[in-house]
Amino acid sequence: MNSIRNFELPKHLRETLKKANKLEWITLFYLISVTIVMYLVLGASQAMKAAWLEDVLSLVPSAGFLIANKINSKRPNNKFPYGYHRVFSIAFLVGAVALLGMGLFLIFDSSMSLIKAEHPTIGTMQIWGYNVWMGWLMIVALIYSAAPAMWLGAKKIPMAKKLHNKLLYTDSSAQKADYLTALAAILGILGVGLGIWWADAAAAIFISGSILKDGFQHTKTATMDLMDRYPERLLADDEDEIIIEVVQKVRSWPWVKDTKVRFREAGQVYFGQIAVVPRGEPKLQEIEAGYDEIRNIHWKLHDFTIDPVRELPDW
Amino acid sequence: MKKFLFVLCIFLSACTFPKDPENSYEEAKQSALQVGLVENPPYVITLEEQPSGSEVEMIREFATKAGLQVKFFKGSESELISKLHKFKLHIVAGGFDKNTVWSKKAGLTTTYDKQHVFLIPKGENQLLKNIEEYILSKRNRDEQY
Repeated sequence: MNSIRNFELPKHLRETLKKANKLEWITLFYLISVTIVMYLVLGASQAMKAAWLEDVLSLVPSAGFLIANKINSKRPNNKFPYGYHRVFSIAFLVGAVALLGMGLFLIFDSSMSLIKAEHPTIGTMQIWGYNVWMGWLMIVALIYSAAPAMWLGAKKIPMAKKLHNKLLYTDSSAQKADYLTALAAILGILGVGLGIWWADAAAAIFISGSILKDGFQHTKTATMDLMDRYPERLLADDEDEIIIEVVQKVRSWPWVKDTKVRFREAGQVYFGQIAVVPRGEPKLQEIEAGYDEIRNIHWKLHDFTIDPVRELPDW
Repeated sequence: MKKFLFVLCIFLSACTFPKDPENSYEEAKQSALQVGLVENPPYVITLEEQPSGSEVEMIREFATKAGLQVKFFKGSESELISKLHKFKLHIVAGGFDKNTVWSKKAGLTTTYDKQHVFLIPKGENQLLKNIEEYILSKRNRDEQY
């Protein structure tokens, strides 16, 4: 069959995927170390709790990417005739819902500590014979949670765009923006040190708000992708012009009178259908040549059919 | 960013840091360290005229070192902790375990013997720092002997 193939990225992107995979492994181990370090200095600070939970959640997209990447490249088989591309969409949705739920919980939790006027108690720890206020340790941990993350995020974003991988993009953009969380938490802790007890809860609400916003945004995108909406490029609200290109290409064929095209996203790639009204009887060679031409437009146009019809369908 | 933090560190270490939101430590310096005592021998014994017990001795030693007067108040656990919660006391002692059920209403100091803690008003971090520095130095002394 002409339309269903084994999935393989173009050569230059295979290299990118390999690099992205390696960076995700590094990210995963780094994030695990961050969650441990943060947990050790957590204390009674609400802002630290919010920042820590955000770090724990940020493990989901990284782990999801690594798992999905293993499954994604499996061959289509009798049980899964369309291949395994959607695994990325599912991982993306799971991560997004987790973020949304955690955002809601943290907004509630942080607001309650503000309403109840909880004064965060931050004590002293002894390290190598020195008495150190735990607030300083929290700040050091927060810097450790932000600086390398920003570097990793900045490295992965261009790869995600090239690969058209939403999971990777979400993961890396969250890491790049992590300095905001860290900065908010640092200000909260410094505020507590200056005797402003509500600084901590206020910082926590700010952090929860940003988690909630991301969670909402990603859940929306993930759901719409699974609902087969018109493919969009990674930076939202930007319709992919590759599909317009397909329409123009099909119209330019001399044997085609009229055409209608639809595509949907399945993870990194597009699946679709091209209905054509041919002039006279369609020839098999012409259709076959058409498949090849469209496939050459872009690697994302992975799996589609060209259907000769008498009349254009309603969709 | 790092420069900014560095400057901030210097600036902050110049004044007292951390501070108390409700000024407990300053209050203690001006009038007296107000300590609630819950009967719990051998840590706190309140039956005689002068309270005694190991925790009472520690508070006396801490106060002397910090140059504070001490005022003791005897009472039941719930009564004293509710006063502490309203920032009307500075410390409550009574052989409290580090997993005490009161940790929602009161702040805990670090343990002085890996098991027992003092209760302080929540978030009074300057007071806490001073008490904990005393506890930590006492712990170091105890370990040496």
